[in-house]
Amino acid sequence: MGKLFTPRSHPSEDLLEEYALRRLNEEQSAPIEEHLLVCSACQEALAEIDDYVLVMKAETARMEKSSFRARLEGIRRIAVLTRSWRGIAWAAAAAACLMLVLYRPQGPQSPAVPVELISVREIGNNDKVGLAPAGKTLDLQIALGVASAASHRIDISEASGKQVWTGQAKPLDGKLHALVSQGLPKGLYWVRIFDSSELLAEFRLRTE
Amino acid sequence: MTEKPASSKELTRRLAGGNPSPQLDETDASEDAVYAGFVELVNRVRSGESEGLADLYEIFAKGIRFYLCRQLGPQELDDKVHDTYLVVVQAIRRGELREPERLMGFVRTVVRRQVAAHIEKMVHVRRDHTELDSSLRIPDPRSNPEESAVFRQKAELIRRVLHELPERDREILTRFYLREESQDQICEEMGLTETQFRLLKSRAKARFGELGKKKLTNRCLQNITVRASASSFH
Repeated sequence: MGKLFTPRSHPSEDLLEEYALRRLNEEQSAPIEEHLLVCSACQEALAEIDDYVLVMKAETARMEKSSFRARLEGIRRIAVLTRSWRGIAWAAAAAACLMLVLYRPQGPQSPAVPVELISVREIGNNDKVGLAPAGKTLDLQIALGVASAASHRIDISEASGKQVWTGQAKPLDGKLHALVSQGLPKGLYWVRIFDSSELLAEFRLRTE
Repeated sequence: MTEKPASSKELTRRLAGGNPSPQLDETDASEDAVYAGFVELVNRVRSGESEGLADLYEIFAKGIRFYLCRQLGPQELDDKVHDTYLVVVQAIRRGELREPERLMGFVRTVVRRQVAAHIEKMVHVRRDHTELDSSLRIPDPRSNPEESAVFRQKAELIRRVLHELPERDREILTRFYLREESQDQICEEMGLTETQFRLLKSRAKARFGELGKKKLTNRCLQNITVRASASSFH
């Protein structure tokens, strides 16, 4: 505060403001109060400072409050935006997962294993069995002599008689080809070729 | 031959130290003359001289009123001023003022005691009344509608001043007036010199005064216009 004010001089405006803000200690404020007891001009000056400080406090408080509210609103908006972006991100991630589940990329498919089937009836030999790897895609090939050069229905049944696959065999390069993409578990199967509902031929297939 | 005692006006003039100026920290009053004036005045009060009592009242009544009003509000102010004055006079007569040249400090002490006593009394009254009537409220210092209106106008002016200021300057004023941070702390943290700080404060205050004057002038002009247009109807 520097030089101590004496009661018989007018305090500076800054000193009066410090007094108005109650920032002076007893030693500093005593001479100011003594002076104020007898000086009308300083009483008026202090009254003006009091008013100024009061409205300044009120307004800065109001502005700070509104600025705080604005900041809070900003944070809330960012939070909402973040939430919605997070929602979008989550939705996108979920969609991607779903796509992965539903859509299995084909990729380089493992080539179908060609399996030459020999008709049981044709050769009359029950011991002749077509051999194929279990669980692999099979390209079942049937000599055209068994059937005409047209599409035919093919059924595959387990040894117990339960049908496990049905599809079409199509002529290609002098043979009928049936692509069985569903890998067959290890076992013995009957492969039957039909012309409409008439059984044309029956084959044995063993998967190992 | 005795010297003529200094009149209350002369004493007040000497005490006030000439024309007040915000930056004035000097005095043209002779301290010896002031002390001599106080000693004289106290002697006259002690002797029961009615003019001495009147002079004492004239010198201090306004200041006592100002202090009491600032501390306690305008309620029953005349009574409080009178009570304080009586306490001062009685104390002087009883010889409690041992150093008459310390009259100003003595009066201040009495006024402060009066304020403390009043506050203590109010605390008791409020506590006793609160038990009976919980709706008792502290009186609003701006209960007068005119004062409230003036306050609102001043607040509006300050709002304008603050809005005109850059964000950084607003923060400086907020820190000083609202958060009650010291000038040194603000200057240190915001990289300001003492002069820059003072300049900013005084500019804001000057702008406040400027806007206030402008508003007052506009209002006067409006009143004249209204009066003129009203008189033209007659």
